[in-house]
Amino acid sequence: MILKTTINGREKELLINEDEFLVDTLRKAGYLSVKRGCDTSSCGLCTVLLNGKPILSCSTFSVRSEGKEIETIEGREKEAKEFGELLASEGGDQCGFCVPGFVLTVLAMKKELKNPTDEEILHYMNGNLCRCSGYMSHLRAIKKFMEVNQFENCE
Amino acid sequence: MFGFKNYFQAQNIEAAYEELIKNKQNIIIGGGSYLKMSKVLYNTGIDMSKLNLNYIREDHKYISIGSMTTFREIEINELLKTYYNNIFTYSVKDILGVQFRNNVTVGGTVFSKFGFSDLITPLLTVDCLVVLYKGGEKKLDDFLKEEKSTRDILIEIKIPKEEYIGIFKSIRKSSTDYSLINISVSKKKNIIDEKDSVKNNLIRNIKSYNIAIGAKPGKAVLVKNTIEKNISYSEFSKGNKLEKENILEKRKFILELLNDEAMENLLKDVLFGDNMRSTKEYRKEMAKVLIRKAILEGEELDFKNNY
Repeated sequence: MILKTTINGREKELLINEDEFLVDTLRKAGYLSVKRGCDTSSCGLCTVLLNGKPILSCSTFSVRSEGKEIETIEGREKEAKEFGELLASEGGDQCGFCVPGFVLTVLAMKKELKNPTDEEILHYMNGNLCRCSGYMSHLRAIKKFMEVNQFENCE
Repeated sequence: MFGFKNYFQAQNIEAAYEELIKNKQNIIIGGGSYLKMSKVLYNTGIDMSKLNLNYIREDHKYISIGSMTTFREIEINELLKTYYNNIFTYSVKDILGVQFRNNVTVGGTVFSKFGFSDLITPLLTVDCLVVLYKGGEKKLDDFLKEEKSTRDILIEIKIPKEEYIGIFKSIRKSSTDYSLINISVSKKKNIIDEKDSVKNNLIRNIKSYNIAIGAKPGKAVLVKNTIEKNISYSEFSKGNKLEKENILEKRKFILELLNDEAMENLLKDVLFGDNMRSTKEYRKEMAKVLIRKAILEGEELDFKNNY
């Protein structure tokens, strides 16, 4: 069947199987930043934005994206670079495999939460696993990225 | 490996039902997250995502939640937060990550009667109703007890808009894992009889709780509240006076009511089981602990309002 959708602002028509998952469709279409990790909806590697909301492309049927807007990290290059530099400067970027999914969840959080606390940030990021680092370096990078006043939360 | 040979985009519920009953291997797709873990090749996957069944709305008596509503929508919905002291947010907020909750649907969970569900347990305690396309409206408790799987479509669930105190508790091995046991308690806020003693008011309150246990690991069940029969008056019955303002004494009294004997009796008909997450013995002990904690927490909320 033909899937009509928008990927990173461009209208696309893609040939898909009826029971195909979005991760496969996107990778076949060349969006290789979308990674397959656990394939059990647990790790967050395959995160993409569907109409601005973070979803797991490994468990979302491609047909569900018909007429909707999909964003991968290729379409958010400027913000991804900005966050990636902060992540690297805080020591949170190691093997890098989890980063595309991680960045997209951060971008969705930035849009959704205003001045989140540490607890709210960690809760929102619960679905993105990183096996290399602890999560404190990620937290520092996210707080800098979101321009959250750290001292305000400490008080 | 999981898959379906054909895909059917339903334009209305009647068409979805007609397609469903054509073949036993046809299936309604909810969020699809659990479905994809199966190894079954289905005939037709029926998609209801364009039927506008993702809503949370209220009338004078009920809050209705459409079957395609996601857990994330439940978690952040302001209307639901104003009832049952936010029990639904608490029950779904720790289910994997936000991306997963943006995908998982109420219909997929409730209709499938998942034993590990963290949502079904609190729904049971607030007397939730399920609305099926052919089966009509029925209590969730009755729906869960039906052994035979139904060829039907869940349209929505309805939660009575009554003032409840609701508490949800669960134990997980890690913060985003499935619960190895979960419980929920709820009650209507009681009118305190000022003429009666504090002790009797407490007993009246505690015996009015609805108690449900899930992830045991089978389907969640509503437990018959037998606490009244097991009240051991011991030291409190021997003339100990319970002062109105003494919260610590009230806590002691509640724990006396919920003693081990009372809890054993409460859980005597509940079938706990073993699986890779835990043993039945551990689950049972933890259920006792969680029920005690939840009722204490509920009563502390009520202290502020009523005592």
